[in-house]
Amino acid sequence: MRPAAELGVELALFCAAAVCLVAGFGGTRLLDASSDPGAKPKGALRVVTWNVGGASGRGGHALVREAFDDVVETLRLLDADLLLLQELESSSQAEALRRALGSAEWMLVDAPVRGRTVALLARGGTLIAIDRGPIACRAVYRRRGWPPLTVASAHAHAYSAERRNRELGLLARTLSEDPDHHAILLGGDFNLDLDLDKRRDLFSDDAHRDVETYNFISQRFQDATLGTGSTAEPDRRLDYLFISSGWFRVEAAGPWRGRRVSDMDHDPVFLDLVRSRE
Amino acid sequence: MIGRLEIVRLWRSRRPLIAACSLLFFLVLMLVGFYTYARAETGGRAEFRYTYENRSYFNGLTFALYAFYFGFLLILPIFIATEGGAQIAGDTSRGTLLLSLTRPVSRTRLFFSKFLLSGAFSTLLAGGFLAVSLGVGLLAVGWGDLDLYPGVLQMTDRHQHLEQQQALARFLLAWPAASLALLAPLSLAYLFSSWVKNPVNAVGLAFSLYLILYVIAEIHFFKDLRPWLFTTYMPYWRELFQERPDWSQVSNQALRLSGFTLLFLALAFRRFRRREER
Repeated sequence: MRPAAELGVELALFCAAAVCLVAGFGGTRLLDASSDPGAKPKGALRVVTWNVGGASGRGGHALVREAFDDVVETLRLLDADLLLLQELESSSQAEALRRALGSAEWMLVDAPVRGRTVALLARGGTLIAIDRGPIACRAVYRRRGWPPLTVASAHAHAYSAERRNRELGLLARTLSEDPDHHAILLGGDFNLDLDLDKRRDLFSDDAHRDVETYNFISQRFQDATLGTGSTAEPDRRLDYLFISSGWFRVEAAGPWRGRRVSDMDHDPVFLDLVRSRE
Repeated sequence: MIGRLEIVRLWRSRRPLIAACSLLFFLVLMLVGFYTYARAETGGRAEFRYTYENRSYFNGLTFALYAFYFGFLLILPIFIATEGGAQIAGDTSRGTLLLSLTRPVSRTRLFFSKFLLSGAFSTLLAGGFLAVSLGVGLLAVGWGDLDLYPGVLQMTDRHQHLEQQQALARFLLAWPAASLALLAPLSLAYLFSSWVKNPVNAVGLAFSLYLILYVIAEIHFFKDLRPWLFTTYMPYWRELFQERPDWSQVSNQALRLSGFTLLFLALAFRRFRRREER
């Protein structure tokens, strides 16, 4: 074959490679982008779960005073109806948060969890506490035009897969056997990192038990923020919102990135629900 | 003529026999591992209670899929790199390349004959491995429906159920898809084979680079690098085992892999057509 023809073959190979790469990569986001929640859709119920604690120090810490105003600002921007918060410092801080958001509007249920506080805040309806602890607070949220909703805000153990397995399993079972047959919303920082294609067990042997825990919950409830990416440092999906299947339709969901302040290590995760026609 | 000669040389090299024996040995170990895992983990231990898994979870199809998945990522690339690396560099080190080029055969034809033969070999190796995995699964474990659960193998992020016939059809589709993916490490090895004169160096370079890229693609610290590495897309055929595969994702990733393959091949051809044989 003549050199010119060989050059032609070479150029054809480079062109074919370029075409395949452009077609394959075209229109895709190569870097993780944030999902801006935007305005709440009309008629939707917006739920937000957020671990507002910080990562520094031994075992991290609860929400610090310096970050308080920024957290309130973010929650206002989110315009949520239900807030599931973890790692508040105390019941009084939860109350202060409620006042900062507008105490006339918001109702609060909280519970101590391992020296910190988890909270449920709701507006646009009534919130009646069912129980508090050991890893969650549970309440029934009633809102006009919506089915009664049993809500739980949970914070699972950060360092023990066995305790996560036992405690989250028990909570999920309790909710799934709700005698009142309400719709269920279970959310919070579950400390389960199972993201497809990210977790490879190079640093931990917890995956097996965490997988079982996740399966147990997802067998009973729909993982409403599935496939929306990581929610915590470093690139882990630890925060979840599970809902009863069939009651609602998910309009939008995902973490809102870029809202952390100070040494916070979790993003707020939002979920817009509308009532299912079924 | 040149094609027939290459086939005879490949057969006499005993590389196909070595590859087949190694893969069989791997399958035997997988089978032993499967039995011991099933015995240990389904024996009713407390931490296994929160699970979807049932008696029909471990069957021949699951065995074949997991064996192929591990073999595809870690064993097949060894033989693919060996095949690609040995082609041109092997002939160069033995002096047979110069001899071949004294015949009335163009460099282009020689180059593509060797690559086509290597590609056909890797396709047959992947197909044979998949077929034997299914056969061993059928004989030793027994077939059934294919149930996949979220887990450490990262095959899926939710429970997937495929009827036996449907699953077998997906296995059939996975063969060409996986074979296409293997062309990327093959062409990388071919590129090194056209650059260096010693086949050991070409194979070593190709396989070590594959492993480095594979490990980098697996560790979440390097998440921003992942989209640029061909190893990220190698297991794209896993999507075929979803109940409803995302065909757009499958085709995009197949295009990316084809792009990488053609790019490596173009660079290899550029080097091959310019080099001087002594």
